[in-house]
Amino acid sequence: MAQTAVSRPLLTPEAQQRFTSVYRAEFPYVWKSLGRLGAREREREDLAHDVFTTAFRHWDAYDAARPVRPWLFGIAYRVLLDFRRKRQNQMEDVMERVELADAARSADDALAAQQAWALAARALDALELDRRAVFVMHEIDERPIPEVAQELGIPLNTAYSRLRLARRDFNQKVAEYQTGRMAP
Amino acid sequence: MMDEPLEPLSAAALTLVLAERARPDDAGLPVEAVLARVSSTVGLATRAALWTKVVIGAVSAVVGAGLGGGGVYWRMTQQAAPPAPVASAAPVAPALQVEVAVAPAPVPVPVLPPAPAKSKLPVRAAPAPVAADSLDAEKVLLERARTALLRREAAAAWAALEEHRRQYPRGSLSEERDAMRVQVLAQLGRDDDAAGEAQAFEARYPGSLFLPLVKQAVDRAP
Repeated sequence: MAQTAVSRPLLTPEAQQRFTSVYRAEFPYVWKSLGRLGAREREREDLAHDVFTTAFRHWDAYDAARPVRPWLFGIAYRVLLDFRRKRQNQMEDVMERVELADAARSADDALAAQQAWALAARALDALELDRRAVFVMHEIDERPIPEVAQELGIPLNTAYSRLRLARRDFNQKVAEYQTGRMAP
Repeated sequence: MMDEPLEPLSAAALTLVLAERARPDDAGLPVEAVLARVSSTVGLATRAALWTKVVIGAVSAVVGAGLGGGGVYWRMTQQAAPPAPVASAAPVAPALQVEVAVAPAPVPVPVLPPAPAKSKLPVRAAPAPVAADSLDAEKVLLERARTALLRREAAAAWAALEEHRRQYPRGSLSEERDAMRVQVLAQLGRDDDAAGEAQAFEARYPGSLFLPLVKQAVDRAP
């Protein structure tokens, strides 16, 4: 994301403190959301930086009465979209995540969960970014579709349409995996 | 509103979604390192106004003499930053403002549905329409079973699974059905039956996607 100067004055000290508090509380969520949106592992730090830099610059436009996570998610989506357009890069290498998951396993329970997360990541990788964002926000973050549409800046009908297509693709990918047609 | 009805998530897909919802935050994230970079970026972008803030004393500025162009690096906060990466899923910021709505931190829970289904889960209350082919009909039955399982209506789930077994003993979705049978038996507290079915499942489908979930159902049976 371009580091353009802004004419807006610095935030008040109180606003800066609030930003920092939200930053610390929500950094793990933003990190996780970037992964769910398909950011490569090695890109996530730069993208997280861009998300919070954008959030800082628009902080005085943020309505504190609204939940902060959907707002941050909307920023993360735009940052990644922008990044993709510039780089034209591919979705994250699936194996990268699976190996990470394997490395983190510690017990049988953890193993089962890690496998489910790895499979979820692989199925998510089958979704186009636009649909993926709607799917993650609605199905995983459990935000209602009108809120999804608002935070992603898309018409309500478009949000529903993307959700429908995303569910279809996600179901299909999981089914493919079950029948062994999805490459390991 | 919609041209076509929303397709519900399949049993396996929903299982993955539920697991992902419950996924705890990663440990060892570069929280402070990225914060320093964010501070640096926005500080450089607005450094013309920086000294005012420094005089106010709200921010402590550190002038990096050796930095090209006399770049000014500053910190946005006086909070004592923990030197080590934050490894906990719980928010650590002591001064988190109450007006900021922070969603509850996810609890590391098992992959299996831990609680009764919420109202937003797809519920097939009315009898399903007659499917055009057997795969669709199989899906309808398993969808009914899954919904009941998530709502902890084990008897209803079992009935749907049994119906599937009667109609499609070697159906395309037998693997999914047999995995759910273990989950339902575990939910019913029939631990021995669940363990037996789990063992048979593993023998029948050694590389199954559902195997970890089947094992977990047995391990976590009450």
